[in-house]
Amino acid sequence: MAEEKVILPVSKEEQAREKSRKAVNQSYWSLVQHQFKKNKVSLAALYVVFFLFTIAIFADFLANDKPIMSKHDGTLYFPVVKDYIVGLGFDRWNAELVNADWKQLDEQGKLSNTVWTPIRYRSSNQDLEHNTAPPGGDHLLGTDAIGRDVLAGIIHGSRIALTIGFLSMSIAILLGVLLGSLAGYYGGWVDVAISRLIELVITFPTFFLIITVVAMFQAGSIWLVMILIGLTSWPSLARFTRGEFLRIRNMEYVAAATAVGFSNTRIIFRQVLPNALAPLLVSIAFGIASAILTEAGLSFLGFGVPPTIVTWGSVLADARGNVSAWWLAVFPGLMIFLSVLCYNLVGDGLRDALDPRLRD
Amino acid sequence: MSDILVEVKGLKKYFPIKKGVFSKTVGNVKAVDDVSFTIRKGETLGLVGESGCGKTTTGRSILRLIEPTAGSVKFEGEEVTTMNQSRLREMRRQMQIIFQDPYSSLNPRITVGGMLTEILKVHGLRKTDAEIKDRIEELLKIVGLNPLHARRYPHEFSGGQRQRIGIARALSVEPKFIVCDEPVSALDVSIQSQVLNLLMDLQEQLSLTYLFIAHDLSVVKHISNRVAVMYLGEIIEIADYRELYDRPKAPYTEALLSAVPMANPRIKRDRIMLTGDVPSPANAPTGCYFHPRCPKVFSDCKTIHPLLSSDPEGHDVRCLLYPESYPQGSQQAKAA
Repeated sequence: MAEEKVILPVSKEEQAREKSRKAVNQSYWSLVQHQFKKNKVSLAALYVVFFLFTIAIFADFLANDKPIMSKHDGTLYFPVVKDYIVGLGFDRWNAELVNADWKQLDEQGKLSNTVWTPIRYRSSNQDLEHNTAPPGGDHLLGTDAIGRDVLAGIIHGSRIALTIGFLSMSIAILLGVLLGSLAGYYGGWVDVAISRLIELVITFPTFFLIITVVAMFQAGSIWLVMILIGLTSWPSLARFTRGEFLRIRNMEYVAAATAVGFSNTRIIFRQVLPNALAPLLVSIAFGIASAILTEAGLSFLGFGVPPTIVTWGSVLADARGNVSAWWLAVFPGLMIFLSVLCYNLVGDGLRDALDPRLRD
Repeated sequence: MSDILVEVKGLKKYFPIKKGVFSKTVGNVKAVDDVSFTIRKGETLGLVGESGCGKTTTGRSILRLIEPTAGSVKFEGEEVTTMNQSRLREMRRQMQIIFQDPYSSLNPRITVGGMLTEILKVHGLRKTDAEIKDRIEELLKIVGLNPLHARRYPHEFSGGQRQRIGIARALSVEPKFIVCDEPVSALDVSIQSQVLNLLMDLQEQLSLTYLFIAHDLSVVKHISNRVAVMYLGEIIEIADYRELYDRPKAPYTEALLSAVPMANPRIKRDRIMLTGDVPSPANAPTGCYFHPRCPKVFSDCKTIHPLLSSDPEGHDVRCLLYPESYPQGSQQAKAA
């Protein structure tokens, strides 16, 4: 290339203006954020989702049969934290504390400087003296037929609900985005094959498929349920991705990327996918909600997770055995309702924020 | 003949029309039908014609952004149409394209700097980050943008600025040949001339060769050395720009030229009004494709399809008014 360049002058003012502005503020996502914040209901729902996340993450600090901090025999312990470390295999409890009942120790006056968790039960603790206890007193939201604290169950159950929602959707996203982009980008027989596969999987009745597979595997586990929900919910994401790819493939910037010699893989992942992703967020949010609902339904029927694990659905299922124990139905039911509603509202808000194709 | 950079011979692009459950091909849209031309190093070949006559398809087929149905494209003597993918990717450094629509030709999610960085990295044109940064600054300056614009996203630019970014992208791989696919049609008239002048300056500075596609004859006249006129997928006339503008041979070219607005409204001209629309390329008329609209139509036009004559002075025409256009063996009519 010739050394001599055509250089058009750039004015001083323009340079100054350019330096002072913050380019990041103008990006697409900041515009989406701005639009989303205008929708107060969705914004509130997003905060509820964050709140549920916090509960799920700190479940062990909120409801536990061990104190957060306590002094025993002159040594200061952080039993909740220590449990994590022991669980990872970096440390072990000394012999007398391995299976110690910290509540008993507390009652015997062997502990000092004790900070208890707000709820002093784990979801699996059975308080047999207070079975089917109504809300109030020691058990804020009551207990079930074998004396398990409902509030502790709800707090620990939120972990399972969120894990199911996110893990199954991750599997679905992986499969759906990959197959959808291949179908949309390459077209032709690839598209025909994948589209038929999508139609085939959509015809499976998800719920009954999961029930059948879980029955075949004898011992059900949450992981199996997650994988199954993921494996059956990718088609809608694949369809969405395919549609977006079909639209974007014909944009001139894709032709330009081909013209400057980019490979197909690079074009799919760097040029097309980032532009196809935004509308996908909406169906991902709805997908999480429906995964939570599916799991709750399965647990309610007793097919989902093993009975030792407490989930929202399984607490709800206990209500069937004792109709007068209304707290077993109302509180987990409310949580399911609230979380599904909020994910749907967030999805709705996202759709509104993304939909009027934000341009300029 | 070493000064020929691009040689297109018998280029065809047919789009099949499919019908029914089994996608049976029931016909072809002949978007480009047997187009041949050569472009010499450093020159600009203008390609004009009405919408839908196959100009863009021709341009893109040369770069194989659209796979041509038949024909040959030679770039510096090397056949492009049969190249394998990896050779083609290398080749794409030599041949670039500037698009018509400055809005859809830039990826909205990538900053200008990000886009150019990726290109430079993929082709290994600059190694270190500092070199890349310098090159991007240089490219933006070349096309008349502020180097600080590199941090911006495409939606923060005006149409003219976006077109300059498109030009910077094409230049980033240091090509020899650029297909300009109606680069100014979507711009305001005031911006058009700026971009045209930029393209001409760049041609001089970087010794580029252009295929300049447009539907506006006045734009093409401004920039081209030679001009080819297309109608319904075929080249109707090709000549040096002065020759073509002063002594057009084909009635279609005359009609197009008479439609160019003049700066002086008092000059009286014989405006040739064309009636009717461009026929569908899926169902082209018999004989000369232009005969249903031609003001100088005569009997042979309806049955004999003219050939592109090869004039020793380089003024080729496809019209039965000129005896050279009669296909060999067909009965020569006395008219003409």
